[in-house]
Amino acid sequence: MRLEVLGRSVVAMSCGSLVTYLAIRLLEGEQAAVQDGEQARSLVGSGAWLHHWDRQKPTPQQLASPLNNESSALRHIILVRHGEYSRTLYGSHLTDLGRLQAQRTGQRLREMGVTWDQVVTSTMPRAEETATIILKELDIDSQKMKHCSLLPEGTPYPADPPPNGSWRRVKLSYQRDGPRIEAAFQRYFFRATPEQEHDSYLLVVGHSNVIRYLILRALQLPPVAWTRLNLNHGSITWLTVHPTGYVTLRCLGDTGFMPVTQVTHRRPLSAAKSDSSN
Amino acid sequence: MRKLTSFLCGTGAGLAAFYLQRLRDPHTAAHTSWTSSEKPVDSCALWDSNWDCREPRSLVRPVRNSLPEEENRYNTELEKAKAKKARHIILVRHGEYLDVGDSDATHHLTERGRQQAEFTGRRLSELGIKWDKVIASTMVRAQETSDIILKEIQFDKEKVVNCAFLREGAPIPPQPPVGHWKPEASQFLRDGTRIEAAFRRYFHRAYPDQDKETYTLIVGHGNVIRYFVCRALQFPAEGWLRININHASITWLTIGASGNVSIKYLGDSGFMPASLLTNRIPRDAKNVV
Repeated sequence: MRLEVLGRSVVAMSCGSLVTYLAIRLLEGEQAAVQDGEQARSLVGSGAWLHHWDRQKPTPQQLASPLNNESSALRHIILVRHGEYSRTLYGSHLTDLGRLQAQRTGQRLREMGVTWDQVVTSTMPRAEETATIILKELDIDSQKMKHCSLLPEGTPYPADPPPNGSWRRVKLSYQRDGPRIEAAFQRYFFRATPEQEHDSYLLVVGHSNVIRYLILRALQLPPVAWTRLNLNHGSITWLTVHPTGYVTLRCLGDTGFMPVTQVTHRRPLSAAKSDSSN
Repeated sequence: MRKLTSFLCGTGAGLAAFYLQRLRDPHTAAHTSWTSSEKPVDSCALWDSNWDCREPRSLVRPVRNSLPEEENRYNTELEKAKAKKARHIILVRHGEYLDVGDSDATHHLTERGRQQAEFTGRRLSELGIKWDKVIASTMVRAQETSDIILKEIQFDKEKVVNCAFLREGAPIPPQPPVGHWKPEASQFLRDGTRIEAAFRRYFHRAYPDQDKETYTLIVGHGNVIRYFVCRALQFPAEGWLRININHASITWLTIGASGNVSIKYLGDSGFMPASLLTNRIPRDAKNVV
């Protein structure tokens, strides 16, 4: 009798322990999953390089296959900021100086003597006007350029040190623009596919905030730092994606090809009454 | 009855274990992926406003009590400790050179390197800046570059500071590592601390008594400049090798009065004809980046 009671208590006790143990296991598993994502993130923050940033980790079968599925071609991505512009009653358009800047940028790009595989522009008028002028200098038919609605200006990421202006508005615009600009990164930044045989050159005409975010994302530096960078109007930024997936920055905001007096980075003062986003 | 108590006992033990576990590990909050997270910023990406230990609040004795005199004292001292103006630091890499011979003494600029330095000097003079300081690394290629630049800009040659801290070296093991450049750990240890010392010597916000913006020109080397850029912008310094700058290119950093740092451009070499652009020694790479 006594033995039976003891046995039952033992069974009940182990039951209770088992239930709680399983519950803990379940929670632990969830924690581990979170830590995985967390780890990837903190790695990026702490300076480690994430190798499979643009594609899935190759499976063992892929690695073992005799076909070499790594291209040896580089992908050069050249990011150009639009020229100086002003906001008028008829919308935002390039100023005369802005057109001159675009022309000089075009001349510099032609001087580099590369063949452009693709030219993409943001759909905002100031970027499209800049791209048209550049293409005229490059002798490329402006019909061939692609208009990408992922590239218009916006707030790509919360910034630190925080920018001036309403915190609430920044948050709102980040909610709206953040994923779109991240999508632009996903669309244009990846290593060469195995089919690609020659180095390719992609020209992107866009906006300051977007370009700054793309640079930091590509280099796996904390994107929160984008306000620490500055870009002049019509400046050239050159990123290279290596076949190994490594990304290097050749120059940032290069405007040395313009006379010093033509270098600007913000809207002319008379027109800069409204908010300072550029 | 006894069965029930035992069951409760077991549950209790389990719960205790769970809470213990939880106490040990506070990270239970779930985050989304780092690109779209609500709280995306981990501490190492946040701006440290006291990076140069000159944040005014860290220099002033804190308020001891709530007496008005004490608060007055605090506010005046705080105002006195604040920097008023910005500092601009312009970093120039040396021109193309050839590493013949065993020592630095024979590593002279090439003809193209001289031309590059000349273009850089002209651009610097066009910028119309009144230079407050010119500092050059003591290595031959940087000395030669700064000599050529000084011919173009308005600065007394006698006042140039030659700084051995700025010599080329291996600042910190890079991430991602590259195959063809693998210095010994001892080299990183030796050069890394020296280059960090150079950073601390030249990068800080203005002193409170500085009454105008100052412009400092530093003629140095690729690795050192890239390390400076990462450190100054508070990027993980391991990422320095993701940047690649041309010979004799100009990099412009600004340290604002608030201590915030921003970069105007990096590796600007647009003032040279495209045919003159180079970024490495004109031969097959040996142990150089």
